[in-house]
Amino acid sequence: MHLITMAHLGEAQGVIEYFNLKRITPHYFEGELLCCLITGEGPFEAATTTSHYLGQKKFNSVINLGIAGTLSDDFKVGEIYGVRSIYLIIDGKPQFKSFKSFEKGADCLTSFERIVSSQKANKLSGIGHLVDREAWGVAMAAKTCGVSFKCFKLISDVAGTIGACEIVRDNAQNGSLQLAQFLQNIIEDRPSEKNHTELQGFHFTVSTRHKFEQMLKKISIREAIEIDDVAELFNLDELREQKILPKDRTRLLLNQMENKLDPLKEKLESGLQKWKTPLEREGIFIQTDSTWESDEVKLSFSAKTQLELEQKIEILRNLKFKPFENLRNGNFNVE
Amino acid sequence: MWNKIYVEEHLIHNPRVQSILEKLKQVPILITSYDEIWGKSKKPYLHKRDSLNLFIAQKKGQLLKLAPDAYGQAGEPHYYFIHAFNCIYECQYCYLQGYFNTPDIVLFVNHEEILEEMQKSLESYPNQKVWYHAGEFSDSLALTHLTGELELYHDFCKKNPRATIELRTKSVNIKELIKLSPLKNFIISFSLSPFSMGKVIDLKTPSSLSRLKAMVELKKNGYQIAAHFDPIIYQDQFDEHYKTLLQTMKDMELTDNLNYLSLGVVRFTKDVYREVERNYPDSPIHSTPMIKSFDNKVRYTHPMRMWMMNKVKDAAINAGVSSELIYLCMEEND
Ligand code: SF4
Repeated sequence: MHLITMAHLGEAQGVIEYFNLKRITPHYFEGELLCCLITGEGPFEAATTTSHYLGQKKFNSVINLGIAGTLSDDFKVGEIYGVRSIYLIIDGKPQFKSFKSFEKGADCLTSFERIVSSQKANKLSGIGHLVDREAWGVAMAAKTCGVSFKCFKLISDVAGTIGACEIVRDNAQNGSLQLAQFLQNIIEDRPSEKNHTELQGFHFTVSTRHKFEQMLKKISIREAIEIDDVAELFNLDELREQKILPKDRTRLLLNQMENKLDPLKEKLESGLQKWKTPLEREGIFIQTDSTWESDEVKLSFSAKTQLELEQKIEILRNLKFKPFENLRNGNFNVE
Repeated sequence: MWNKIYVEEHLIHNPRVQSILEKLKQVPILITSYDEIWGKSKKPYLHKRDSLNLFIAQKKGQLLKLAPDAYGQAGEPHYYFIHAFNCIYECQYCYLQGYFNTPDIVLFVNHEEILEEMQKSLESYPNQKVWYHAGEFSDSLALTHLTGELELYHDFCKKNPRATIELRTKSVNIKELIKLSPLKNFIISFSLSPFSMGKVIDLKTPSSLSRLKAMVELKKNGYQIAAHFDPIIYQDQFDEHYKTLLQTMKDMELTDNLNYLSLGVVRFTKDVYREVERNYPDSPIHSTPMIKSFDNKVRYTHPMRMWMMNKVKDAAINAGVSSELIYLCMEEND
């Protein structure tokens, strides 16, 4: 369910009719696919009303739809644009917090006051392309409630020009229909993304799936290939032939992927094992930092007799740190 | 190029500002102080691609910043001088993307005040060589055809042989330099990436090959030159890529003419790393595992960074760079 927020009833009329929305309160309308909330003008009004309704019902996304004035020749009156970033303007000055809606599009300034002078509009034109009165408040409420947020603006007028308000009023009906048709297009269902972990013979938990997906992406970047082609770099059939549990097969696959991404992983692991093994055989265990960041080495053993203790101390006396230091310093050409 | 140009109104009759505006041919918007707009709201870094603003302003507060030891000159004081914020280029690893709240560029025009500070700092070390680096917060040559301040800094070096200025750049904008005479203590250093990697990560910059050509041109004109291989980023065969870069430098007779070569493996503060992930999710930077290191910076593992640094160092020595001139940007100095 989407929550559509619009500032005025006039703008929302098209959406209400197009989607057959039922009036629940004077400002709130419900339908099967979406609900529409009339927030009123001003960022704080918009934030308060939107938060109130987000607290009442679960929504998948909030879409702020409405009109805006343009500050830039690149964004034309009569067109609808996706909004990229939203800034808040108080007393003509930008405030710190900004919100993102899309990667590309127009930057929108939500202003406390109407921008009626060209001088003010000019000063703001370096900060954003559009001016509205509510998007920032809606974005603030959506982000605070952890709901995805998108914003689209229909350009109604050139900000800072005389008569902008009249133009907005006169075109309200047309604009409202245009917004409704646009909304219909954007909320149509999109195909869901492919699940790469549906591999026969492998079992993924939440965390191994996450790890797998991340490594798929990294390998696709490294090898400059599509994510769908990464699995071909690994011999999955060979792994399937091994008589082991699906979750262990997944572990082996993840290990192979890690080795592909980290050119030193295998060398370091085998070098470390080689250093540890003789001591482990004597019952002395060595623990090192798994990220290799710390040079600290923890040694542990147990002894039952004085003799055993002395034997182990003697073995430790002969322990050389150099092989570990060489590994840690990426120095692989020495034994 | 510029979306809007903002100028602090008290500077509008300043000849240097007038000269910049004449070259830009764009009507400026007057403001009281650049920081009334610049950095006031969080402007996403990549907005620089289509709505980069320029601010012309007076730098207030700190004009010089003490820097860690560098280039093997332990004990010699190093300073950054701050003449600009932000950069026209877009290197994927640039730390500026997580440093300021905005990618908009500020050009400070009160160079005389910066130079006064430099003079004072120099006098506070009466018997020592003092280094001054430009380019901590911006590329130090990219816009010099507009800003025209190089001559002032060059004069400072001429008058003060104890002072060394390093201009660090990825630009090939050397026209203004060529007009000046070379000085021993006026060093132009170029940051270089291997050719294939540079194409992918040094966005909007001149290619590494063009930078090498600019180095040759400067060298021909008697300039002191230096190079930085920083950040070194892992890719398959990275050492071969560095060997190719170094071989090209050798063929162009650059390797035995460097004042120094500094090497550093890629590292980020947590904030910058988050920005790099957000801004360049498909960058090769993310294809090699990184960890939170001893100082909370995000880096490759210790073995990996030492291994990479030593491989590149060996390649540089084999290409004729004297080992005493190779400076490793060690972690404790970051
Ligand atoms: S040239 Fe330097 S300052 Fe400019 S984007 Fe690249 S790393 Fe950043």
